[in-house]
Amino acid sequence: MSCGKTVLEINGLKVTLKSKACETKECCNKLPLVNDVSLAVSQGEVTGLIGESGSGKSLTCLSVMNLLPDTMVLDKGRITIAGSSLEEFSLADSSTKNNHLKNRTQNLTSQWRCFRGRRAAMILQNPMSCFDPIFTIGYHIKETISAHGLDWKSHRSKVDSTLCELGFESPNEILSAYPFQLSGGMLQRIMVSLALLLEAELLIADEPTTDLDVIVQARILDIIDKMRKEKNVGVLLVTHDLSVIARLADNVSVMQNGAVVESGKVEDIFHRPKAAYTKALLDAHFSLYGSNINEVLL
Amino acid sequence: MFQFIIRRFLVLIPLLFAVSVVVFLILRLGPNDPAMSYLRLSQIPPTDEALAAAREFLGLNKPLFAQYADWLVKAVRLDFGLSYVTRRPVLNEILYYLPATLNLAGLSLLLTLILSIPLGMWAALNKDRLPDHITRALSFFGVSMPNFWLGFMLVSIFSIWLGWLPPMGRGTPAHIIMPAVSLCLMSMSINIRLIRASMLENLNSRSVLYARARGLKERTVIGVHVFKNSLIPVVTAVAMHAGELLGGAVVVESIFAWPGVGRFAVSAIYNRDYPVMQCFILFMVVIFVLCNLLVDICYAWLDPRIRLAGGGDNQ
Repeated sequence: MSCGKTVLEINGLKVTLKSKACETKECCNKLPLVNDVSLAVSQGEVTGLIGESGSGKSLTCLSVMNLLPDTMVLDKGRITIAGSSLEEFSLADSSTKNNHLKNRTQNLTSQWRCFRGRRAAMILQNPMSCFDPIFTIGYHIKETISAHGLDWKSHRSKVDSTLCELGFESPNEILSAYPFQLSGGMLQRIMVSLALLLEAELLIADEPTTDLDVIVQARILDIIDKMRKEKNVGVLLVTHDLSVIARLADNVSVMQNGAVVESGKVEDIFHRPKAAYTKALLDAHFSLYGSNINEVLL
Repeated sequence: MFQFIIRRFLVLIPLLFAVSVVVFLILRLGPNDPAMSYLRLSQIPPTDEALAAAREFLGLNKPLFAQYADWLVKAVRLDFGLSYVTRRPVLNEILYYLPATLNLAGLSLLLTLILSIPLGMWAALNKDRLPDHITRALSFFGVSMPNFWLGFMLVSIFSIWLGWLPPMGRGTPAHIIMPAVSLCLMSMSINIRLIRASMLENLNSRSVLYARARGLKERTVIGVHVFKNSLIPVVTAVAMHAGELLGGAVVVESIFAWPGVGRFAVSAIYNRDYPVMQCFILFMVVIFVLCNLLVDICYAWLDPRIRLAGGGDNQ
């Protein structure tokens, strides 16, 4: 197991639903959507986050990027992007009063903007809806690298080589294509290419293989695996698919109803689950797909 | 893109043909006799002989299809006949009054866009806050207020009570203020709500979430991605507003004695001046259809999904 520095550390994260009353009264604690979540991601490692729909996995990811919807608020906890080359970002602190009054304006500081995309990149599910359909892929890549102060012309060869590395034989055709002219798997690889171009240290993959066919799924997982091995990227991998976790993850956190019910090494979670919910998840998976996971782990 | 424009032009031909049939039939199958109107406006006593002579002169004694064919052949050559009232060519009369109407409708459209786009954005970016409430109240007021009533109120307040603006006529820039405001308020109110809804939808889209996750400046996210996507439905609405403004001008021009084609059409309707009514309706339909064509072209230019329909292939 890698002993790389920690690229992401979440301690006691709590996300609540913001209501109008919350702006004047301290009553946000009533509706915790994510409650007391703690986890860490190290360089070159994959930390898996599993759980049923609505368990708070995606909200945890959005909290890390400070991209929660306006109706929600990061109420408590500390999210730290630590390490020798990374400064610490503290989104919220449990000792700070009126944290629930933080609004979008405060969140959108230039510090956070630089952090997003550059140091932590995201891969989202349903990539077809993640790109603006009226702009070309080339425009998306150009505006992203320009937003982080990089020059498009001097990085053009790197863009081409990165696209080739990800299996695009004609980068020029891809750059001039509109998102609706590409497949979901191709767009997923474009998202990965942005992470590679900006040399992100943390990759948050929120159900990256959902809605993709198995061949494309395998390709995306191979690319993520290659990124963590060759580029030493820390990966927070959110998925429903336990086979994906078994194949890629080093550590796993299991979420239920907004809280982490169990976390540990992937072998421990699969072979010696402690929480009843984890056991139920594994049983459900084995009953559907047999015990292939054990073969993967072995 | 060129093929798209040609295709849209070709669609216009059957559409205008269908409109010409409807316009002709509505006026000819109505309860009034055009020959009677002709005699009345010519101040000739409507005796049986005079009516028969008028029908012969106007071609009304021919079968309906032959009347339509005669009218269509002349209309294609832009010959819409003579006005029963002025005895001058109808097209020349309409072209004489048209600049005033285009001036009024154009300014109203400009006001609609200049005011509704920032107000709609302001409301969307401040959802459920004071700016949103203010623009909502303004929109509801604008949509609920009939433009003829607003016109009367404006004349009462700004011309009669305060004496700031001239109540009617055309001449100085001050003359156009009240007619333009009366005319644009409803379109502006609808547009504000449309832009607000469109922007909110785009603000909550996953492409905007991903744009933020890529680290784009908020100015870029809103100004480029949200704004440009929100403009697409607004462009469509502009064509409808153009029609509303030209149609609304008929009423507003009458209230403010604005010497436009709308006021001319209203007097033609009162006088049963059939050649003018036919030409006016057809003329407005052509303008409306051309506006729609222009909007379709803008739409295709803005949205590559329309422009490349059928031409895009999965790679």
